[in-house]
Amino acid sequence: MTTTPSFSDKRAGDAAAATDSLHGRLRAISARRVRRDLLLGLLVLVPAALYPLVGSTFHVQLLTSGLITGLVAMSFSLLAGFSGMVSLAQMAFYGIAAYVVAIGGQTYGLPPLATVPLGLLAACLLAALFGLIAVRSSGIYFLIMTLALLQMFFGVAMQWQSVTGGYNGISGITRPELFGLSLRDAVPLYLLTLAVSALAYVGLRWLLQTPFGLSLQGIRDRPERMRALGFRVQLHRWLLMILSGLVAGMAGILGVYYHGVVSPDVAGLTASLLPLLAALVGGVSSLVGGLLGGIFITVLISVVSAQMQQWFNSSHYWTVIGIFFMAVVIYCPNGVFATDSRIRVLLARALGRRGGDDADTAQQRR
Amino acid sequence: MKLPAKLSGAAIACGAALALAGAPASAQDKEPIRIGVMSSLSGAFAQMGQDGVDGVRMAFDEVNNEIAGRPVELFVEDSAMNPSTAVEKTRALVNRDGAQLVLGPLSGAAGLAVKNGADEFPNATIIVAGSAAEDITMRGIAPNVFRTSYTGAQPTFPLGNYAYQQGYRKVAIVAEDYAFPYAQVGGFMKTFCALGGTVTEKFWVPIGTSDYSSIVAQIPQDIDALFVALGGTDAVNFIKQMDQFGLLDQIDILGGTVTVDGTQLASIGPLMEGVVSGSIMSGQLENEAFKELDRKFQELRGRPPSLFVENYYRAAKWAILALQDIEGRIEDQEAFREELLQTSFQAPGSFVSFDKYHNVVPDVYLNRVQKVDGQWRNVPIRTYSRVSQFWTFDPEEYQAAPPYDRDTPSCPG
Repeated sequence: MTTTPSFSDKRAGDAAAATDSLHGRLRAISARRVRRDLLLGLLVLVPAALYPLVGSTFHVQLLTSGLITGLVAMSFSLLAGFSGMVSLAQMAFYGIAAYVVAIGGQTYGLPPLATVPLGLLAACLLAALFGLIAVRSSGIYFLIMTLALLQMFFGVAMQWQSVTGGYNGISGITRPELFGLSLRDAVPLYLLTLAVSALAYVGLRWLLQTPFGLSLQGIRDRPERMRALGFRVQLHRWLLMILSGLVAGMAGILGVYYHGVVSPDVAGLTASLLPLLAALVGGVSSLVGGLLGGIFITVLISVVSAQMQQWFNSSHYWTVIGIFFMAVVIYCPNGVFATDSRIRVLLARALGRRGGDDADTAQQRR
Repeated sequence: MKLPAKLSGAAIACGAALALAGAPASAQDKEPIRIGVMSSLSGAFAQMGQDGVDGVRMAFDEVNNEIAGRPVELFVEDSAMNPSTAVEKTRALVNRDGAQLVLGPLSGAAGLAVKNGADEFPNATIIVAGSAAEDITMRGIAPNVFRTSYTGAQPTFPLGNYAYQQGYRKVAIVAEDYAFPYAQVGGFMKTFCALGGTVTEKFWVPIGTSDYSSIVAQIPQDIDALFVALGGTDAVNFIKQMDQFGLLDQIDILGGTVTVDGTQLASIGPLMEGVVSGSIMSGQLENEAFKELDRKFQELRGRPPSLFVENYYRAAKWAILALQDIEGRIEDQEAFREELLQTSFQAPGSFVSFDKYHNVVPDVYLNRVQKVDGQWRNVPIRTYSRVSQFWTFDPEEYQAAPPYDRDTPSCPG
């Protein structure tokens, strides 16, 4: 299994450049994989959906929170891993969707059927606006630009007191009902979050295999070459940015229903770094990594912050988490689930052959 | 360096486990009372948050972590000044740790978010121990949420009163641009303006501003006093720059509740000499509870207890007294809340009780910065006893008025 369709960098660039014949080969490969992926998906989704039967309320809530962070991480990976745009502005898209739902519902009494589409639309529009400014730059400049835009969003949320509630934000959000189940309760919200995450993942996965998706990877690796071939590089980047805004917006709506509050802190630096760390842990070049990373980091922070208090009476849990991330960057630069991850290598060694097989399977999946 | 620290931590944990194992059987047999503590333990307010946790631990140490024969288990979490985090941590404390009582959080936005989401926790009681946002105990209250600290306006009502009595008629204001200072300024203006004073200029500055020169240059020359509602290093920087501009000697300064505390006095005590501020705490009080807390905290940390130590200590003490009265039956939440509302006692700050809106009724002190035995301290010059969150205004009318913000209230002259 040597040809990987979407993730290995150089090949994807060449694939888009060499066009048709390679496309055909990729299609054939993906057709073979669809069935296996579906099976794999069900193997993950069914136990995940049944988890609330055995898990405690708190663990269900923790998973929900992890998936929400994971969705934002996925929107980050979509830009960073598949088009080389490292964006710090994802939480602004999350935030605007959350604010629109909160303001629409609390201030104007609009039904969720109106606020949810409006929230998603707002996220897309903000992403389109940010994109107009940011896609002109690339690399570190793009990163700084998105950071500046994030700060602007934070400033507006903080200062526009009459609409956003300023520092206090808007709390006491009423949650809608879905099939007669209130989204205020842990389990219905978890199931909805799980469904949205799965749909977003499948949708993005599909999109990345279309010619549009492949051209993006070409743009990531050889922008000049793609431009020479006639691709409208900035337009592609802009569209992808809007798409990532949509995904982050979905997370924002789930987030405001989950927390019942939205405040400028959603676009604060800590909140904005979490999805980035999640994507880093999961591996920036994989979509599912973002989701897994989101769950991983949420659980990690929850456990470390509680245990540091229980064992050491200490509140320095961020130090421990910081050390952990340093270790991740040094030993698993492509994420803890990646094939070159030291954790996997060590696991594989410890488990002997079986571990090795696992690594192969994963490589095929990627 | 790292390893010994960890080892000693582990040793302490082992020691604690052994100590627990050796505890008397009477306390062991019974189901523990699980109590959650939420404070801001990371970021800019970490120090004050840790003070709060110290306060809670001191209160429970006094009863040997045991109430009516039941052992007490404390679970501490960091709400990080962030409302979303505060909601998540409340869930962790209640749903994971089984806490039926949560003390905290510290910041206003966090407290408001927890109160507005409190119907999610029908089987837990939340005692807000630091958050000063008015609407936690106003404009609709939650049956399971109480506040033992104060509202932003509560300690500054008397300050406005005092300012007018001092003969000040024109005052300018410098304050941070968020909800807590809005309320502090609001309380001050509500009484000051009602008497006939005017506030000619308000300067709202972002939290964490370090350069105040543009503000200092704009301070009107004809004012009688300047009300400074800044906290932490903001207050220190501002006062220093006032001094550098040579204005400090020319204008009388009034301070907000967190403008003049121990840490600020330690760094710029001489510059703050004579500043009068409104608080529910003081640096020097005559009651036994204060002296006890002062002595114990000095032993623990080598400095006088801050407002946050007292606030969290008071919340914990309040809960302990109520629980003792109902023989530790925290499972009976109705009875516990009823008892809590009835309980009144001498806290280190002052004698305290609840009003029917679940908010504390404390004494408010006007403190003046003075040198006492070579140490700069807040010394009470006036005590206003039993100050309600509505001051002397009618509660209904007060709640019907719009919440404080940059422009509300206003009294230009």
